[in-house]
Amino acid sequence: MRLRANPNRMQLLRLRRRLTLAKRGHKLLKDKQEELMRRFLGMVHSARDLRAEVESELAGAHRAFVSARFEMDGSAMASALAFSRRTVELKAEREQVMNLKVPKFHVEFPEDAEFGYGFGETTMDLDRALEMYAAVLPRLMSLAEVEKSIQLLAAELEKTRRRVNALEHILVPSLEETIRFISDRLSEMERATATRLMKIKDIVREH
Amino acid sequence: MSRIAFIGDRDSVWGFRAFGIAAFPVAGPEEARAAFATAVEGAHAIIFVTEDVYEACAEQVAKYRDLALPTVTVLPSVTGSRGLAAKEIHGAVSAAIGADILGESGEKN
Repeated sequence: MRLRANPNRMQLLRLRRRLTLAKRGHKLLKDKQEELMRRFLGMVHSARDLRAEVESELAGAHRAFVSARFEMDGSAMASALAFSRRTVELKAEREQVMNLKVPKFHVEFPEDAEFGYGFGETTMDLDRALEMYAAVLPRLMSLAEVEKSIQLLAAELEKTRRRVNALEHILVPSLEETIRFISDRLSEMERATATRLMKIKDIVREH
Repeated sequence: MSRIAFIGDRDSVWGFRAFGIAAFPVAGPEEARAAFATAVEGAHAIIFVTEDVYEACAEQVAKYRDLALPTVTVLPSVTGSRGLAAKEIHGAVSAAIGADILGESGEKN
């Protein structure tokens, strides 16, 4: 598709500058796309393994918890859970990946801390269920982190891919076509002037 | 207080209270949406939701999709996983690459 431009030298120079800029932008975006893709694919694979692992472990912990719930009275359960002193500390930061900000979580989890409830009114099932929850919790955080990063990267990749394609298949070819058109037109005009001059010279000589 | 919230049916979220996680037991989509709004206002960094809650709050979740925080993550509830999270990731991957690279293994998860 040819751009609307007057066939003169000024426009030609301007278009040439735009073409080099478009090509440079295309190259940069392409590099960005490749790097994003490299990181993205690594993340996707680790996320898939992590999710499968976490889901099966969480299912086990849920089962244990539900059986604990059947055995225990609701209010005893509520107070046992409220008294627990094993608290997860989460530090959330934003990490820069290319131009994106992805979340980065630091989990601080006291491994040795006791659950603070009394042993009298709680069951072994509850202990077991909470141990299982505790085991899977840090990985839940990393799953949240990596899945969010994947979503953000995916959106950015899509945007970048569109930009790369727009430059590669639309802007650069149409600039090139317009440049060719203008330079053809200019050399044609030059030839026209040359022949006209020669003709005039002939006419002048005849007199 | 920890900066983690968990929204879902009672059995799925209750146990996490033991770790200082803000658990929002909800019954039904209305409560889920209200709890999600509260969780977002409470400046929680991670909001875990069960698949039912995720579906109920889809519009609210979409608002935070492009932000790093809060991070919304889908987890299976006590009744098991329907593979919603895997589908989400799968969708993101095909949108990013423009082709379906995970193939069937992505569906299965």
